[in-house]
Parts: sequence; structure tokens; C-alpha cells
Amino acid sequence: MRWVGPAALCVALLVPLVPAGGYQQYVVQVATFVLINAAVALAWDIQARTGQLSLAPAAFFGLGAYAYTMAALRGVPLAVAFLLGPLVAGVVSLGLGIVTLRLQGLYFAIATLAFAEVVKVIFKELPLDLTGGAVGLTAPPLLGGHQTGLYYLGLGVFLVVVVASLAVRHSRLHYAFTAIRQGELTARVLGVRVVRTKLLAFVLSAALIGMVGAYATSRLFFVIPEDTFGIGLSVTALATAIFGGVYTTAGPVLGAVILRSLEEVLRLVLREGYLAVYGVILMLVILYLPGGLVSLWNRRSRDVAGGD
Amino acid sequence: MMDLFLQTLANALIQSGTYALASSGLALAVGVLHIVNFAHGEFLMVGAFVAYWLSVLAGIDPIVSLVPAGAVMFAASGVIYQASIRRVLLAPELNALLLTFGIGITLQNLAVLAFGATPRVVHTAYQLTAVTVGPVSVGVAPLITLVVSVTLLAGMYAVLYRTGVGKSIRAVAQNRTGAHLVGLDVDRIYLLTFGIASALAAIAGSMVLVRIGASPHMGFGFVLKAFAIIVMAGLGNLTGVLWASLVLATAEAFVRTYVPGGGGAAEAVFFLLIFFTLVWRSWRTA
Amino acid sequence: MNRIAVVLVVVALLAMGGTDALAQREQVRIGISLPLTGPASASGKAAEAGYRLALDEINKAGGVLGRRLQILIEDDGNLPAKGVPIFTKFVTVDRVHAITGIFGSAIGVSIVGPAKLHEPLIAMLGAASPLVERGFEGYKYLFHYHPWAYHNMEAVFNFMEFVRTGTGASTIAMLYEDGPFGSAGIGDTRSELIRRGFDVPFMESFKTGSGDFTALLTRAKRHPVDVLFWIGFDADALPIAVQSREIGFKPRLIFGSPASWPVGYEGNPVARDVAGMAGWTSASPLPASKEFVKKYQAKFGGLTEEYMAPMGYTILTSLAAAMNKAGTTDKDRVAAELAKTDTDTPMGRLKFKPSRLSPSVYQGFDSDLWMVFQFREGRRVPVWPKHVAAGPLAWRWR
Repeated sequence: MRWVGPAALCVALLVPLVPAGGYQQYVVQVATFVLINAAVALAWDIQARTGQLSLAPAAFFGLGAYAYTMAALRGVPLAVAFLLGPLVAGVVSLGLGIVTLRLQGLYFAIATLAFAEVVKVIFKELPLDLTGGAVGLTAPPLLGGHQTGLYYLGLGVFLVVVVASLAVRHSRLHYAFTAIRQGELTARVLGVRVVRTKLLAFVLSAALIGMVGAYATSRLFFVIPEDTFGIGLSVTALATAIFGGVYTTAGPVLGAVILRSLEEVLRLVLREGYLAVYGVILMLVILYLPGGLVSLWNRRSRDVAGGD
Repeated sequence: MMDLFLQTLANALIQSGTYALASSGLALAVGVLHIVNFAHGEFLMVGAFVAYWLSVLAGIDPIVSLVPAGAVMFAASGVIYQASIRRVLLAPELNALLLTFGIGITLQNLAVLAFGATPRVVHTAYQLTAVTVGPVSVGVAPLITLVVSVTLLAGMYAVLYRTGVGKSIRAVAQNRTGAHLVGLDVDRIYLLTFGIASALAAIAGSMVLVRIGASPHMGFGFVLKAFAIIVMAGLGNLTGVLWASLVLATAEAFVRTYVPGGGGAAEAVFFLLIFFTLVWRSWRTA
Repeated sequence: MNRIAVVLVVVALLAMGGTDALAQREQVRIGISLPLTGPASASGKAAEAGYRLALDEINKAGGVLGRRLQILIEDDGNLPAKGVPIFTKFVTVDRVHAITGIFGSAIGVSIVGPAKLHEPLIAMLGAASPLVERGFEGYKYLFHYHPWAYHNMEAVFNFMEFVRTGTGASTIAMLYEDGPFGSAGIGDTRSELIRRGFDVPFMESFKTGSGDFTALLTRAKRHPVDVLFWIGFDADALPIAVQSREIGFKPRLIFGSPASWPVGYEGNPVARDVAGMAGWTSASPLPASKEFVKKYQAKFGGLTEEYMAPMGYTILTSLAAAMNKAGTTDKDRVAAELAKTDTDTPMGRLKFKPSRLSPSVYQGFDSDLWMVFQFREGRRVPVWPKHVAAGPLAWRWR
């Protein structure tokens, strides 16, 4: 089954060229947003592999988005502004990671949630000419707003996250992450540098999410604290990853593709109340596939790059 | 100056009643079942709608309706527990999170289908009545909320620490396997606890109805703050919920009253306080 | 393998939709993007009703260009991640002749890119943020019907001056929600009020839906406030009115501008004489409005107080009229006709002007759209401006 990844990549590369008739651009648009969701969910998952449930993705997404927008509006070359996204998110996450190092489980989750909410309010309350306040700012598009180009850029951003995830999976880090998740004490006994590893996972994840934030903003043309730092983004990220299957590379990606397709199909078929059915499906999947969607896959071939 | 100070204190006390009520059920569910119930806010919403329709169709006061609202949610949560929750209790804890997230989305959108997204408000006789003591003026409705929430928390505390059932619940909360070994029916106790927790959410909902109204999307804001409160209190610490609510409501009220621009900043202060408490605690105990 | 299967399924499903669109290509089609789920769905559903009412009427009167008009309604959930693909689908898949709907400002901004690429004719329903206006700078096919946020504020200024003339009231306390809806240009609003000679001793933001206003109102109470003006959402209406009473804060007028009001609010004694700004009310005495109410009742069997209903109705009606006048669906000619629109609508006179910050954009309604009503005996009684007023402004509590 090794061909699945490359095959999926080929499909992704071909999306803008698929002769889907009039649907081509629509498919490209939907695919772009799927890529964004998949990238955030996967980046969240990388950090979750150390057993920490972060509710701060919205903060890093927003920081990346604001770093890009504010720099770009001040005349910084767009490419540089874009790179500021992951940089700012990464640096801030390092500070947050150090401070919250000792928190576990729900305590860590709520501390990160609280952090995200505070950052949102700060950006709302900063002077108008700096952040645009609650109204936000218009963001300049990358690549002159060229749709297909932006899709490929999105694919590139997504692939960076995938590569990071695979690199973690196939390095010794994987064992360190897994060991920490199963118990920090044991991990320490096994010789894992717990502090350093947890921080690495946290910063890597945040920087990747910051990069997605910068990209998404160049695609959406705006930053608004209420939306850009919205807690919904964090919840979607973790729901997507769990739905697809946590601690894997394929899971969050699959989760993003299926969830969006599911929503679109339900919307077209049912029109009214389709989100209620969507909720029921989420429940059924987690009840009958406790390992998420990828467990369908792993059931058939246990050796594939699954979880732990 | 003293007047303002006293009024602010009263405002804080009043608001802490709502916070404590919205959080106590969640504290019970998280403390005993060890699941993160994302649907808690939607359970609150269900309670608000039950009380709303009882008020509109049968003229029953929401204060009275907190009994049927709690009963409805107690029964409904039994079904939800049997059909879904019990099956994820032994799965990785993230599964319960997605499950309850799904339950929440479903309930929310069923409510939108049935009632539309516009909030609905009720009228009660005491809604416009206030009690004035010296310079301090306090609404009767929030006062009732405060009394209800303190009574319920005291009742819960009494049940947990003075009755056999409470002892069983605490035993299960502390050690599921151990409780099972000494012959406790863990599953039944979980069912009961989840039912009480959900009923508490519905009761909070009928109180919120009087203050704000009922709408399909009302739950999320409360559940977000409720999570923060129970975590600040310390998981499984029921009395802690009361003081955490009081501390946070006081901080909010004082920031809103004494800090220029405090209206927007209060939200940040609420979460900042929680953030620093958690972090400080984690480093102190190390 | 699963992923490929999924992609194939999706493509197949989309293709099935495509044949549908092909079969109806000869009709005139208008794409409507509305929030039919989520908190904004109350407005979205109201607008949908308005559009459908107009559709019936248009098709009964012979359709557009002698053919039946077809509308395609999609739920954007008020989210850019859904709204942008829907917008693109309207243009590239359904090949609609115009796009309308678009309620939230976030979607309004995020479609700027695809809009500039395809340049479709857009008749925008909401999206009042200045970000949208600036985003569409230079765009030649945008008809923005809804007033911009600054128009809303101008209406507030005008109403306040009317209040001052009638009562001498000049001190205003302001509460605004801390999102983009309540905060747009709020600093300018205050300085403009002060420039016009009002006293604004108190201005604070709040979080919508929190239901806790006691602390802020306690502070406002310390000032000799005539008018409490609040900008927020329906969920804030009851707590503000109730909690003012609870803490003994007695402004002479409570005046709010939520897009809609809670169900049952009008029957609550606390609502008595609370004033609200609205784009429309069913009690409006305008002949076109009375006619609209009659038609609405005939079709839906009830009343609505949501101004998005006549807004949707007005947009589709004017769009169809412009297409018929142009005698073609060619967007340049339709735009030229639409620009000449000068007609009575349920919401007052509709006439397009160059938009203030982005003159290429056609702006429909302005501050004149807004009217103020007071809740009285369970109904909304228009009190301002004079040509729609059905009663005098009532003062309370002093």
C-alpha cells in the first residue's frame, strides 16, 4: 500500500487540471480550503503525539495571519511577510511552551485555550492603526491573487506539514513522542529528554500552523480577531484529527477530506438540517471506529504507517 | 466611592451564581467520568427551551420549570449515556471529546430546525423587581439564581459526602477499577452521575432563560467559561467551583467597573487569571 | 485508496449537479448565497423568504426576458470557507447572470479575489464593513444595497439630534459589542457625537451573549445619562433592559440597534418604550411596504419583522426589472440599467450613488434607510423619521 501517498499527491497536483468541466475552479476552491483544514489538523496532531491536548491552534493561526498582514501592509516584501507567519507563531509558542511545560491533560488544554482567548482580546484592543481593532484589516493576496497559483502554494504549504509529520514519524522523535504520551516518567527513564522534546513538538506545530495562517489570510483577504482567532478553528482542528485518526499522518488529512466532502454532499442532498446529520455521523464514526477513519485502513494492513 | 464598591461586589456575587450553576454539572461529569463533555452547553440550551415552552404554553414560571427541565435532561442523558457515552469511557480520552462534540452539533442544529436561530425571551413577574439594601440594588431573578446554585451545590456536596450513593460516586471517581473490585456497579454510578450532571446543566439553562433568553447557540459561551472555572477549581473539586466562580466574577466586575475600557478587557482578565493560576500552581507544586 | 475513492465520488457528485445546470442553461439564473445555518441564519432565512416572494411575483408577471427566472440558493453558513467556493461555483459552474445574498462582512471581503477574476454582477445583501467597501475599490459590477456601517452611524446622529430637539436630551452613554459589528468606526462615532454638541461621558464595549451588564451599567449610572445607546445583537436586548432596572439605572431612553430582536421581547413589560433602529418594520406606513406585508402574509401566512425580508425582495425585484429593461443579461447593460434604478421599495426610495470610499461601487440605501421604532403595547410603533412616524417619541422614568 506504499503507493497510496504518492497517488494521493498526484491527484492533488492534478486537481486544477482535472477536466471537471465548469466545476474545475469550484473544485480548486474547495480543495484549497480542504488543504488548509488538513494542514492545521495535521500540524495540531504532530504536537498531540506528545499527549498534550492544545486548544491554542487558533492563536498561532491568528498570529501567523496577523504577522503576514501587518508586515505586508507596511511594505515588507510579501515573501518575507509570509515567512514572518511561522516565525512569529514559533517564537510565541516557545514562550508559551516553556511556561505551560508542567501542565497536563485538561489543565494544559484550558491554559492554551485561555492563552488563545487573551491573544484575541489583545489584538482587538490594540490601537486601530496597528491591528485595525475589532474590524480587522484587509490582507494583500500572494501571487497577485492567481487562483491556480494559490492552490499550488496551498499544496506546498500542506506538503511542508506532511513532510514534517513524516519526518517526525520516521525519526527517533517518534519514539520519544510516543513514550512521553504514555507517561513522562517512563519516558525519562528511557532516556528521553522530555522537556526538549515537548517544546520541539509544540514549537514545530505552532510554526506550521502560523504558516498556514499566513497562507490562508492571503487567500481570504482579511484578518478579523473574532474570526481569525476564533476558537472554532481549534475545535475543528482537533475534531478533524480525531475523526480521521490521531497520531498518524494520513488520519487528519483523511479527516479533512471526508468531513468537507460529507458536509457538501449532505448540504446538497438534505438542504435543511444537514448539520444535525453531520453531527450524528461524527458520533457514529467515533463509536464504531474508535481509532478514527484510518483504523479501517490499518485493519487491513497493519504494517502501514499507522499510529503507535 | 463606597457605594460603587459595594454595588460592584454585589454584581460580582450575583454573576458568580450563574457561573457556579453552569459549571457545577460539568465539574461532576469531568470529575467522576473523566470525560470532556463538549455538549454540556447544549444540555443547558435544552433546559432553557424546555422551560421556555413550559412558560409560553402552560404559563409555568421558569423557576418552577427547573424541575421538569432537569428531569427531561436527566432522562435524555440516560439515553445518551446508554447509547454512546458508556462506549467511549474506556477508549482514548480524545474519543469522548469528538463524541460529545457530535452530540452538541446535533442538538444545536435540531434546535435550529425546530425553533429557528432567533433568541426567545420570557416574561416573569419578578424579572423587573429589585431588592435595595442601602446603596446596593440587586435584581430578584439573579438573586434566585444565586440561591438555587448555592442550594444545589450544597445539596450535591451533602449527597456526595453524607450518603451511601455519594460515597460510591466518590469511590468510582477516585478509582474505577478499585470501586469495581469492591463490588460497586460502576456503570450504574456513571449513568447516575452523568444524569445529575446533565440535569444541573438544564437547571442552569432555565435560569439563564430568565436572564438572557433561549437560543440554539447560547451554550458555547457558557461551556467555554465553565471549563475554565472547573479547571481553575481543580478537577473533581466541587466546592472549588464556588470559589473559582466568585474569584473570576469578582475580577470581571471590578475590571469592568474600575478600569477605563474594562468592558472589552474583562474577558481577557478572566482568562488571564485562569492562565496564571494554572501555570503558577504547576510550578509551585513542582 | 480511500482518498482516491472519495475524490472520485465527490467529482462524480459534482458532475451530476453539472448536468442539471446544463439542462437549464437557457433560463436566467441568479445565485443567492445566504447564512441558512448558524447564529446568522435568522437573517438568512428572512432574506430567503424575501427572495422567494419576489421570485413568485416576477415569474407570475412573465419572468425575465420572457423566460422563467431561476434562483439558486446556497447555504454559506456565514463562513468564508464555504462562501468563497459557493461564489466561485455560481460563476463557473452555474454560470449565473448575477450573484446576490452575501450577508456577513467576512465573506464580503474574502470574495474580492474571485470577484476580480471573473467580474460577475453582484447585488450585495449585507456586508456593511468598510473592509468590504475598500476591498472592492475599482470594481465596476458591485451594487451594495445595504447601508455601510458609517451610514448606520449617521442615522444614529440624526435620530439623536431629533431627540435633543424634542426633549433637550444631550447626554449619551454608549455600549457596543466588541466584534466588528459593534466596533466599526466606534471612535469616530463618539467624536462626531461630541462635535455635534452631545456629551458622551460613558462608552464601553461588551461581549455579546454574555448576559452580564450589571457592572457596566453600574458605571453608566454614575453619570447623568439621558440616552443609553447600545450596539449589539438580539441576545443582548433583554439583559440590558432588565439589568438597567435591577441596578436602578434610569436613562430616559434605551435605544439599541441590533439587526433583529428576540422573539417575545415586544410582549415583555421591560421592552416598553425601548427604542430600536431598524431598516424596516411591518408597521411602516409606506404604501410599498403595506403592499409587501400583504403579499408576504398571503404567501407565508404570518408577519415578519426582519428587515432582511424586504431587503431580499427589493434586491431581486430591482435586479429582474433592470434585466428586463436592458433586454439582455449582458452584465454591462444590466449594470447600466440597475444604476438608473429610482424606485419606491418597501424600505423607502432606492437610488444608487457612487460609494463614498470606493466610487466605482454603486451604493443603494444610505442613512435614510434607517428608522426608529418604540415597543409599545406589544407592537413596534415607528417614531422617526417624520414621514414614517405613527406616534410621538415616548420618554420614561423621570
